Amino acid sequence: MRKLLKDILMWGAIILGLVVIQSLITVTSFKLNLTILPVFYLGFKKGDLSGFSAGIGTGLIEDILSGYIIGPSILSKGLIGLFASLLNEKFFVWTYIMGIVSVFFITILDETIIYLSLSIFSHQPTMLSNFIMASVIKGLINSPFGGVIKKDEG
Amino acid sequence: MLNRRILLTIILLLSTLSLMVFQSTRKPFRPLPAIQNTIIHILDIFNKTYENIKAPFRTYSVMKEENLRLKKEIAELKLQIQKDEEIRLENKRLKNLLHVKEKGSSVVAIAKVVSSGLRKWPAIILINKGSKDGIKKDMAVRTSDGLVGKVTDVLPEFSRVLLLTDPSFSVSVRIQPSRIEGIVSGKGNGQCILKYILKEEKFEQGQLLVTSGLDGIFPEGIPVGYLDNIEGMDELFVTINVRPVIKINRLEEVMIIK
Repeated sequence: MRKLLKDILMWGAIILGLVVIQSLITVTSFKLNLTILPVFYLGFKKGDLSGFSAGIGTGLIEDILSGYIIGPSILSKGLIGLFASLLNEKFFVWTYIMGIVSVFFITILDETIIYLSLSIFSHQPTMLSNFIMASVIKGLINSPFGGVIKKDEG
Repeated sequence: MLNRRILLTIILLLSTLSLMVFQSTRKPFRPLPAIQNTIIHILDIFNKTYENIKAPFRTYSVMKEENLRLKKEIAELKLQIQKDEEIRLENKRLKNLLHVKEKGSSVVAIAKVVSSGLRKWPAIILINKGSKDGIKKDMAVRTSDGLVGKVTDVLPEFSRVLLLTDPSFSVSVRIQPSRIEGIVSGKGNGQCILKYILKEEKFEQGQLLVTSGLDGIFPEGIPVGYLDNIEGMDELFVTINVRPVIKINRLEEVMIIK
């Protein structure tokens, strides 16, 4: 119980720290997407429940602070947490290239879910061309992180 | 394991989609102000720490207080110059009249930008002044250079400001030299567009756009942006790209006016 509480506090602080960094840094005219990294990590290493919970928590913070509707980030991050655990289960061999590619595509998936949710339920946040460019750049920035995630042996 | 994952996915999809459908038909759901305030306060603490680390490097030998005072003075002077320019043009057009009613704006508060937004496409900023400081929804926000946006959400100690670069933002403007009127909206990429300008109207690149005051939200004469190239045209109107006057990535202090 104590370990669980310690883990929750530690990951909560990491996610909040990344939220702050994200709010401070702007690349050209868009924000980075760093919060996807702990969600992916927890889903991949600790399983579906951890990934799901981390995704919901992170998404809720992002949605509250965004000023738009509540839901897009919760949906995207929650799905990413579950998807990351599925990746760990389905691939018996995990190379660092697979990690890089996975994080790249997962970042784009996260961006796409948020973009579509906002476009359907609120308003189109930016033009499609900007969205594609921003998503690819964010994916490229995040992708090296995938190279350091290793699958647990056995 | 797989069943649990499917179940979680279904729960997540159903709950978030119904939440978003609910909000799209009514209004954005705002969680308890206490939760929002707490998160924003934490963000503010981090932000202040970051500012404090940055401050000695930035202010160098200049005293911080002195710097702030001078900044405020410059801001007020710039405001005065812009207002005078508007009045000069107004005088020119109405020179036969003896009395001209001045249309000015008053500063409600000067706020610091707590966060430049967490949305992937920065279109909303958080400022450290709220309803306690007299800020109300739909008040105009500007810097000494020009229009920033409008207040969309007011908490007791913080407010959210929708930037003019957001696609859902619009402001009634006029091209300063020619007085042609149109509507400026955001493009979502840090730029804006000017809409509803008749094809036969004459305009030049680099001309300044100022608020016209016709929308009833923004006071007249606030610089908005500079005309750029033509983006497109239909049978009646041309759409022109606009470079905002303000640097969105470098917003530090803003004025809330009414």
